Amino acid sequence: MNITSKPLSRIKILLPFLVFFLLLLNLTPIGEMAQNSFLSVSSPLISAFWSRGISTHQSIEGEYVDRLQLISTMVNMQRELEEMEDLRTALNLEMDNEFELLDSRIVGKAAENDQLIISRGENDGVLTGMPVVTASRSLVGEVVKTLPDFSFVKLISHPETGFEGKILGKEDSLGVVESDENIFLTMINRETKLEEGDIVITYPGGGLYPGGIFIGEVAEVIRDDAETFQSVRIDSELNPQNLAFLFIIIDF
Amino acid sequence: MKSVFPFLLFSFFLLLLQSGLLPATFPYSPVPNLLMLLTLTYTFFENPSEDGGFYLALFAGFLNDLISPYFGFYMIVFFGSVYFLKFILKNYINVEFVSKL
Repeated sequence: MNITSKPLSRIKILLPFLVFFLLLLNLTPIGEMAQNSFLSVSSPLISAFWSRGISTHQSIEGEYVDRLQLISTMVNMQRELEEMEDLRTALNLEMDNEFELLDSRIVGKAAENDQLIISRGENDGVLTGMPVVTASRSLVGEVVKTLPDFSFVKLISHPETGFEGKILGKEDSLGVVESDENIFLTMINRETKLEEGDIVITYPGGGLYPGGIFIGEVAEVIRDDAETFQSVRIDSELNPQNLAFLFIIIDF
Repeated sequence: MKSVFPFLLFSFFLLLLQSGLLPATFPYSPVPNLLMLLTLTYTFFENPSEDGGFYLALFAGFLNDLISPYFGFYMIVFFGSVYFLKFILKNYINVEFVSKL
């Protein structure tokens, strides 16, 4: 093997240019313009791959749904919706049905895990911090960066997630939604009686999200005698089938 | 240097897999950074005194930055990783078979 002592001089010359290039991209709008232009050109390709991935996932999981199953599911959903409506009225929840929603398509996954790129941006009125939900009003995450025509969405499954949530219909069940490999509602008063299947919703007090948005169902109650608080593991709807289209809450 | 050009094109294809196909196909699994794997693999099999790995690192890092909210982060990480790997390969490891591949 011919290992010479060539000092990689060309790279050493390149380094100052690299630093200058990075500063130029970060301190001026050129970086965002480059991102926006690249995504404008490549988003049809990435979206096509994303759609192909969803259909592959469906075939792997065997989640083929025929027409009758679809109708059955819709009927069940309608019934559950009516039950939820009654429940919400009974509990006098502050769930705001008058959100102004902006529909959006998923372009693909961002370089970081638990972040998505969506097809709406500053030109559509999207701002950083706006909540994002699914078609069934299930919480997905928040917008963390906007480009002119695209935005980056941080999912609630992201490790840096932290906002207030509560259990639907349970007094003194306020907690903090956090994420590790799963999504948890932690710091709940241990005197509160919790069960699997309880519904976790957002709490408006934190200011990050509007109140009453569905986060998920309680999959497991975690109580340790040594702990002051209890927590629950949440089953959420964060999978590609439910994330085909997203909706940005642009006014709450 | 010329040998790196096909890999620059291939890195775009890997970006499509990494951001489109794989996360949708396997939604419950973490997706590996294919561009980083390509860059490090290329650098490992390249003659340590050549600098094609650096160009690939800059290009692949730039591609990764284009789909990242933090611009410039991946270029620095990729470049640093290649520099470190080349430093190790050049000074501490003498792999005879690598150059014959």
